[in-house]
Amino acid sequence: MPRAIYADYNGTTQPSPEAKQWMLKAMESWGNPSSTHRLGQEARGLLDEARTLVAKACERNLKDVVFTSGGSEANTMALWGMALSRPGLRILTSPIEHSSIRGTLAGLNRLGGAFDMVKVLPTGELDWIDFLAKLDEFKPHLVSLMTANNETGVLLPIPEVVREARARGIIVHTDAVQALGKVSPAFWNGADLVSVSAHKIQGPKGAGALLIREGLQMDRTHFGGPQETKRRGGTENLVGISGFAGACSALKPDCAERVGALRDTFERVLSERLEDFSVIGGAAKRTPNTSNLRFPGVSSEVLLSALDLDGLYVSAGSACSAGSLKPSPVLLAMGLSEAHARECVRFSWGSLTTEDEVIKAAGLVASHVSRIRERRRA
Amino acid sequence: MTEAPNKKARVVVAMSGGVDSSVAAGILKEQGHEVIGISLQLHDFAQKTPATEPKSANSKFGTCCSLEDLNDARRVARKLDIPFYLSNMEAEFRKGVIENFVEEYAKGRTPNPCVRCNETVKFHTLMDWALDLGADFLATGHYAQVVNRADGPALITGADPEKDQSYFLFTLKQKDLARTLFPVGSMRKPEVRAMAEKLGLATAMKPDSQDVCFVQSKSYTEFVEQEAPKTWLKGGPVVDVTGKYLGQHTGLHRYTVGQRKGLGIQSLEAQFVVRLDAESNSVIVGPESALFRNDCLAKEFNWLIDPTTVSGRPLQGKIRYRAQATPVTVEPREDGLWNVKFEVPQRAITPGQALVLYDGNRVLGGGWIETAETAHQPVTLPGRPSLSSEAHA
Repeated sequence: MPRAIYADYNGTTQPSPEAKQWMLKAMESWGNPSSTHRLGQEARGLLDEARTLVAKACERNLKDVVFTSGGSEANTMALWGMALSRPGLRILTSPIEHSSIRGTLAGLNRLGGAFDMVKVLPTGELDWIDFLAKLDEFKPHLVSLMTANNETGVLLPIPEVVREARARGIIVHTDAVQALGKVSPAFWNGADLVSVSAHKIQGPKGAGALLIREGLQMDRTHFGGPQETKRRGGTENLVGISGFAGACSALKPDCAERVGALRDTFERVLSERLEDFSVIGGAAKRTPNTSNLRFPGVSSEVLLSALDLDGLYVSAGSACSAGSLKPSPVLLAMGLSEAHARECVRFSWGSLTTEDEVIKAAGLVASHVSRIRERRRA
Repeated sequence: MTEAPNKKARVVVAMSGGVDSSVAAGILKEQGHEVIGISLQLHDFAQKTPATEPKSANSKFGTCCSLEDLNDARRVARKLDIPFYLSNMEAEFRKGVIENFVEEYAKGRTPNPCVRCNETVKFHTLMDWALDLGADFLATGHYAQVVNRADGPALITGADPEKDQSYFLFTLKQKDLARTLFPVGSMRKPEVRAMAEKLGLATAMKPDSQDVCFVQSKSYTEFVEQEAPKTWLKGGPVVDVTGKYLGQHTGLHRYTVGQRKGLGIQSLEAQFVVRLDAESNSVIVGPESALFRNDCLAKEFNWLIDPTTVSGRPLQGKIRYRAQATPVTVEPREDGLWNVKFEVPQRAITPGQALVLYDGNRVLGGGWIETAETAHQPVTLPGRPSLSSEAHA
C-alpha cells in the first residue's frame, strides 16, 4: 500500500516534533510542580513556561489559563462551574455543539437551571434572528456557542455574539477546540470562557485548557490540591501540558491560508471528476481545512471502508459506544434527513497535507463513488 | 466441503464476535486471502438498560451481536491483523426484525427473528458492502456449505449434524451462492474451537449463542408487552376444537402452538394450544392428537433452484430449526400460497415458522408457514416425541 493520506485532522493530529521534544523534556523533569525542592522547582518552571506559551498562542493573559485533560473537560468545567455558582442559571446554546456541552446541559436541571437552543440554518450557520429573539425572550445568563463546528467547519459569528451578549450583561463561553490554529484568536477571544485542546493542533491527547477571564466568578468543579489557582485539583499532567505548549510554539499563522488553498483544490479537483455531490455548509464561512461532502446514493460507512483500504483516512457521523456510526446530530440539526446524513463524509486537512495528497484523494474519492454508484445501479 | 477460492481473493467476513466467524476469518487469512472483517451493530443495548438497573453478570452472555460481541470481533480482527469495519444497522434491524417479531406474536404467530434478520438485514447489507469493496466473496461463520452441482452452486447442510445451520439460510439469493463462503461449514464444532485456540483467538471458549439477541434477560412475553401498542394485546376467549367456551386468555402473544402449561383450564384430559385465531382473538385448545396434521399452507417462498422443478417432487421438509427433515411435497396455488403435504403427520405446525425444503442434504428453498388450517381433519396420535425447544443462530 502506498503511504496513507491522512484527512482526519478534525479527529486528531500527529504530534509535532516540537510537541514531542517538550514532552521528552517533561519526562526528564519529572518532579512534582508543587514540591518545594529543586526537582519540584524545575518542574514548576516548566509548567510556567508551558502556560506562557499556551496563553500567547491563545492571546490571553497568563492567569486565564486553567489546564484540563482536554476540550471535553474544559467544556464541562465551564458550564458546570457556572451553573454551580449561579443557581437557576439559564444557558443559551445551539444544537450543533460538542457532545460534552450537550451532556452537561442534560444535568443542568438538577441544579435548577434551564437551557434553550438557538436554531441553526440549513447552511450550518446560526439563525441570527432566532438568536436575538432568544436573548430577549429566554434571557440567558450564559451563552455557549462553538467557534467552529467540528463536522462542517462552519464558523459561528462569535464577535457579534459577544457584542450582543455583553450589551445585555450575559457571559459568553465558546468551544474553540476546532478554531485554535485555524482561526485567529481575535475572532473568538472576546468570550469570557474559551475551551481549547492540544491534540487538534499537533499536541498530545489528554491535554487542553479552559481560558477564564480574570475576575469571573465561577465555582470549583474538580477538588484536590490548590493546583490551577484552585480550579482543578490534582497533580498537573506535565507531560501533556508541555506537549500542548510545544504544539502552540509551532503554530504558524500562515498555515491556515495554505491549508485553505489545498482544501479548495481538493473540492475543485473532485468537482471536475465527479458529478452529484454537495458541500455541507459550503455556502457559509468555514474553517479553511474542512470539507463535509454528501455523496447521494453512497453510504458513508461503505465509502469510509473503501477509502480506508486504499489508504485514505477520513471520518463520518458520530461514534456510538460500540464504535459504529450514527447520523451526525449536527447534520440533523441542519435539517438533513437521517438517510442523507448517512451519505456524508468529512475530509479535514492540516499542516502536513500536501497538494499531491489532496489531488490523489480527490481521484480516489471520485473513482470509488463512481464505481459504487454504478454497481448499485446495475 | 465448501469450495475455497484457489488464488488470492479479497474476502469480506461477517464477524459476529463468536468463535465460528472468528475461525472463518482466521482460516481465510491462513489461506493467504485478503480478509476484511465487518460487523453489524443491530441493537443499542446500552440505551435499553437504565443506569439504575443492576446488570446481572451474564445477562448478555452468549447472545449474538451484543456490545461485548462487537468488541470481541474487533479484538479478533486485531489479532488476525485484518481491517475491521462496523456498520450501524439499528434502524433497519428495528424495522425489519424487532417490529416484525412483535407484530407476529401479537397476531398469534411464532416468529423466527434469526431467519428474518438474515433475510431483511444481514445478508444483503453484507453482500452489497462486499461487492462495493470489490470483494470476490462474502464469508460467514455458519455451519453450511456451498458446493458446485450440475445446475449451479448448491447450498447444503453443514458437516456437523449437531450444528447444521442451513435452515437459517434458505432466504439467500441463488445468484449470491457463488460468491458465498462458509469456511467452517466442513468442520465440526470441536475442530472449530481447536482451530480458534491454535490461532490464539480470544473467542475460542466462548459459549454458543442461545437466545434471541434483543430480548436479553426478559421473557418473550415481557418483551412483546414492552414493545407493542396496548391495543394489540387483548384478552379473549379460550375455546375447544368444537368451539365450546372454556375460559379467558390474557393475550395471544402469551401462547404458542403446542404449548401445554399455563392455560389455566380445568380438564380431565391434557389440553394443548392447537391454534391461535387472530381474527376472533381466541385461543383454541384440544387434546394432543389435535396438534398432529399432515398439511399446511406456506407463503413467500425463496428458491435456490428452478422452482418449476419442485412441484409434486418428493422432498424433505423441516418445520422448525430443531425438527427432523421429513418427507413432503409442495404445490403452488393460484393465490401465491403453496400447499404443503407431509407424508407423516407433524406435531404443532406453527404459523410464523419457516418451512425449509431439502433434497437430501441440499437446501432447495423455503417459505413461511401461514396456517396449519386446511380442510383436513386432525389425525390420530402416533407415538411421537414431544416438541423440541427452539434454538437460534
